[in-house]
Amino acid sequence: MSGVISGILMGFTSILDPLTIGLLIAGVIIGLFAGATPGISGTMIVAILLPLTFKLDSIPAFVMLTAVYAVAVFSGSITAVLFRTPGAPEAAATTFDGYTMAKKGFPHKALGYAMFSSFLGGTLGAIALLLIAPQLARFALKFGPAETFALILMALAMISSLDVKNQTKAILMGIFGLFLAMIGMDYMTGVERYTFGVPILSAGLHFIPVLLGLFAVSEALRMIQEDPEVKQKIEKIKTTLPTWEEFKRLIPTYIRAFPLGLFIGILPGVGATTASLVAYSTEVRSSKTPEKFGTGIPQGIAAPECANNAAAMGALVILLALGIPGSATTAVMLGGLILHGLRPGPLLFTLYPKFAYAIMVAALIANILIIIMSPAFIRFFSNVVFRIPRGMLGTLIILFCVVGSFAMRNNMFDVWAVLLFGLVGYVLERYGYPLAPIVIGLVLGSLAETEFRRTLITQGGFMGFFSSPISTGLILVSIFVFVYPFIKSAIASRRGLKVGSGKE
Amino acid sequence: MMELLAKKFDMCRSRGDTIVALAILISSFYFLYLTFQLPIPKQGSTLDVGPRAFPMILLMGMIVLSAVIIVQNIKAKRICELTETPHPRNFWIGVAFLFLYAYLLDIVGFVVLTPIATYLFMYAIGVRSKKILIGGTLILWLVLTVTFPMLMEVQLPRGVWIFREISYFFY
Repeated sequence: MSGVISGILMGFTSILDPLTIGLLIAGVIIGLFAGATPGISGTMIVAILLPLTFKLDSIPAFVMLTAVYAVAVFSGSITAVLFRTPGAPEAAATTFDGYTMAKKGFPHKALGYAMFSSFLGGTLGAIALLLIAPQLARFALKFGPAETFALILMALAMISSLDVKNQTKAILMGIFGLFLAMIGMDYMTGVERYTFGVPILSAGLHFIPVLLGLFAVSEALRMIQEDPEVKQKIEKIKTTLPTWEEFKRLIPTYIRAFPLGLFIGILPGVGATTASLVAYSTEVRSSKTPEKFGTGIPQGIAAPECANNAAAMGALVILLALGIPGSATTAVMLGGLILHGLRPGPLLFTLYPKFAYAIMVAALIANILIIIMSPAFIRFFSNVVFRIPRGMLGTLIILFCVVGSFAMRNNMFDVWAVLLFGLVGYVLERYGYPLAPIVIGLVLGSLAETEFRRTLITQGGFMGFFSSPISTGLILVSIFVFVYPFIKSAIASRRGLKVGSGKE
Repeated sequence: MMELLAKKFDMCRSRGDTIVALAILISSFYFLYLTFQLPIPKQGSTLDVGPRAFPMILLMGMIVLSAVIIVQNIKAKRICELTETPHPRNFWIGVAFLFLYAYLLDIVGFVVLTPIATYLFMYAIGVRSKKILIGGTLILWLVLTVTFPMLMEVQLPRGVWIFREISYFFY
């Protein structure tokens, strides 16, 4: 316990300089803006900001990115409540009761519930992060190549749950991402793979242009499909926090939603969107008056908002402790950490404890800042920002991506890559192919191959993967996780058939 | 509730979906062919599976899964055309402008090309308001020029000939 307390103190002292504090506040503001603007996701804005952080030290850079990440999960609910348009996918469930409550004439209350629940879920999640992550990292130090490969396998197996509506496509996209990671020189033999004589490809396909293209450019292309001159106008809105009595009534909801969100967040590859939807449906199931959900009740806002912010912190736990991205945004952050010369995972706490604790403390402060800074932001946002025409916003995003990707290595190849992957991402998503699995595959691909081959060499063959209880357990869990959605949907479709034939 | 969501977010199987799967299938076969051409180094551990094995497994997985999607789409009825939101007029011209921008960036340079490309791109995607076109172009150009070459000292392409000289006024 004393280790954790000294770690927290270390984290606080390492962010106590004007630049880092300034960037933390800037991160909160950017996160509020990014999450609240439909079409700009937290993932996209973290990806856009990554090239801008190259000139910064790793602590201020990632303090800012963590603040953006933590806050964007909440701010998606602002537009979900006001316009029934979730600013971020995580806020999809908030529209059900948030928008209805706003429509009844209580937007200030709906925003207050969303803000307070996000603050609570995120802050408790950040405290859990400070307590769990170092312990998990200590345990993960026992990991050899077989265990690491099994862990990556588990993260990849989770891909099937990224798009529950179309698992085949999700897995296909995950494998596509893994294959993209094969481009370049094979580090174990020096053989060049799929480089087509382009020298820059020897180092592999750079993560950032692919990411900017897939998430930012494709999203901007979608955004400009709608009327590019449209700007939305809304009235000035004030935010009202829940009263003590209202809070007391929500305590059982928080008791259910917080651990659920944190647990789902810790699972690799699942993320805050699933957490908020599961928390909402759990709340409906456990309610004595389920028929009231959807009519604008506080529980319908509190459950998804508490769960999605807790899940965001849960995803940070496994990112820092195990180096496994729990969501698309943490996958982007993983790429950023690698670019800054840091290797997230168990060794992060041993080699760079200052960095690891600084990030966790930043996550805690960013969640607290939600409740301090959001009311003013909501007033500003409803007054000014929403008047930017979509065409201009889309153009700004695309140009930022093009210039940002060039700035990274001063190379035109990255500009071509960002545009090409923008188009690929646009086409894929247009036809229902999820993009997040590509990112997870791309980030984990080369590590997966290296650990796979290292296990074969060091353990003397395929049985080496089952040489320890940890790797065996993880592989079995991976198989279960991979197969379970298919079995579940097969059972569901058989039941559906039976019900259907019964009706006939 | 989850059933409701499932219905709401149900994916549409369209012709485009099959074309995407077919494109993945064909490219996977092509890359599989390239994989077989990869050399196998003589030295190294005999237990190492070499540079071919991992990509080969992945490509086979892609072939199987894209084939499954094609078969599923052929068997299934075309449920709807939900994802087929209409493109604005000149959308693809706008996209072509982006690629043209990338092509000309090394020749014309960032300073001169960016405002021209921004104006043309916004016009192509359907912006007609002069205020947005001119004001937006200037604001975007200013934001990018101040952020990247001036604040971050990024050496963006200067172009050739007179364009190069112009760029020296800014960074």
